[in-house]
Amino acid sequence: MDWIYAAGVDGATGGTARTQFTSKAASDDFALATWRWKTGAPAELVNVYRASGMTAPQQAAKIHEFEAAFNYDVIVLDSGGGGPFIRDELREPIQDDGKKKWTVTPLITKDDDHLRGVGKDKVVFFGRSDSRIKGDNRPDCPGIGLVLTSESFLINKAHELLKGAIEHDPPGVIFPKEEALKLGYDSPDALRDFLNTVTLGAHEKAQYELDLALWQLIQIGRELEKDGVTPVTDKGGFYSFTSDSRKDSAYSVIYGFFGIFLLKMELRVLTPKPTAHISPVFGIEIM
Amino acid sequence: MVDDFLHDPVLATKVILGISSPPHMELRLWSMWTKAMVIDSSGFGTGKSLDIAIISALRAILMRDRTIAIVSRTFRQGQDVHQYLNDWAKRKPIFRSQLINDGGRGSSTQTSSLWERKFVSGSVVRTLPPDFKGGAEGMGSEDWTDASFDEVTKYPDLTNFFRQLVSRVRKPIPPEYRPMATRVPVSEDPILGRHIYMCGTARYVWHPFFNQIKQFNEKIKDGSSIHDVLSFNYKDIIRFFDLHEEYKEFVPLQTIRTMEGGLPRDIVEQEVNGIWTTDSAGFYSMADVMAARGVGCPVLVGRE
Repeated sequence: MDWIYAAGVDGATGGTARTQFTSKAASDDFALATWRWKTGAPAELVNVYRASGMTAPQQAAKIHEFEAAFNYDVIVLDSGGGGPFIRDELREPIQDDGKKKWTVTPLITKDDDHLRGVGKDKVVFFGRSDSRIKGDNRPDCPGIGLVLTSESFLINKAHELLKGAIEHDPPGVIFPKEEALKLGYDSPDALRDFLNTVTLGAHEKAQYELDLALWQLIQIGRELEKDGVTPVTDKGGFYSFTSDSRKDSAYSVIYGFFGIFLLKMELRVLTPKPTAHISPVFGIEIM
Repeated sequence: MVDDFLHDPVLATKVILGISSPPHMELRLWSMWTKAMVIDSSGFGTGKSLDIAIISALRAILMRDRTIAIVSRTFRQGQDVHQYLNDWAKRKPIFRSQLINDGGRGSSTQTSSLWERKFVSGSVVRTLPPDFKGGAEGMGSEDWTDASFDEVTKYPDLTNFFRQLVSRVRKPIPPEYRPMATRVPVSEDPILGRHIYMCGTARYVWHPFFNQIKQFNEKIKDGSSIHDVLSFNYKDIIRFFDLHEEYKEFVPLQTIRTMEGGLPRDIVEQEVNGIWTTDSAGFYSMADVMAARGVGCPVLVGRE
């Protein structure tokens, strides 16, 4: 089996208007994480891209650029913040990153009736309404096999999946060796500030941004009650996640790993073993 | 009188510099003065930088022909420590009286690559940039009797730190001190011998520097009299506030409270309380994330 590639995108709000430029230091970041996986191997986090102050068209153009490089099997896009604007820009056949324009095949979700058959339907909008997540009658939308009681359920599931894979023995995920410690920065925000001021080659930048993403990831905690120990839960018993540092890159990693999970579920459903009965929902063998 | 100061750094600090230290700083002064190798992971606001300046100044005043180095992670941070000496030169008459005139040029040199203060004893305090980018090769010509290394847990390359920096503590003790060392060679004398002080914020226990702490603790357990491991935090001072109002000026309590409110719990443990922590307090285990790193995963810029 060849590697399958998944992207996770945490879009930046990029100011109130879709074309408004915001100050780099103050704006939230656009982050795109790339994972790959094949049968019998742990999932690998192989690239993280992050930038500050991008408009929605620029973010969409960057996703198309990475799509050209990696030919993703799925792109999971955060539905909050700038997500809807980016989703719309991804559908444009001419992409413009502010320096150049080029023609692309639109990237769409499976719910895009207008461009079905024309665009590449590999975008998954991270939310209960996306058909690929909730499932529908189409054979290529089996869903993730879970009853999605709330939006907080979905993000809790995404966190749980990644945490479970990291803590599994042996780990279900692997990351490249850490390099950023050599730079002398010991906090994610200090590293981010440094990376925003230097120009690096693509490979070196990807390495340090990947380190930043993982540093941000370990800063993510659950919101706690006043006792400082008990996690806050909502009506469904789900957690709220918080962090004292920025978390854009960390969330792109989380969404990307969710994409790997989604592909694994679909693979099991769409390519069942011929001699076994496979549950179309849970992807496990049943008698 | 000099002999009294030589054997009591707390007294020397009070008389020469006019500083009365809180108890934990007195303990640290004693440790830095009498132990050849000290590691200090004390938290923020416990006076590590001030004690580096005090001990460097006292050695330069009370002992002849020593070269005392102050090295921090950046030259700027080293300068911040050295600034205490500049301040004392203006405000402390006894300290000022021990500085050389150097033919009218004064005792101080300040360039972009060296800050230096010279004393009538022939001793000198040198604050230098660590030159990590150059592999600290520039330190090759340095010879120190004593050295204080600040922020060691933030140095990017510990191998080069030990190879190029710690190894510079090799300057011979002047021969006139030999008769004063009665039980051991003068270079090993607790007070007259060479001293290395390494301080830095505590980190996670898998930080490479933690191995040094483990080794030092083993040696101390085996009876070593030349090693010491310290870790204080601001709570060691505030409990004396009722009886000693003057200690309040040593503790940036407002800043500490802001840090406690704004930083993740494990970082507070490290930075403020001086504790080497076993794992992050967040949802994701840092230990497990680290365990998943460096096992052959590539960084890619395109599909292979």
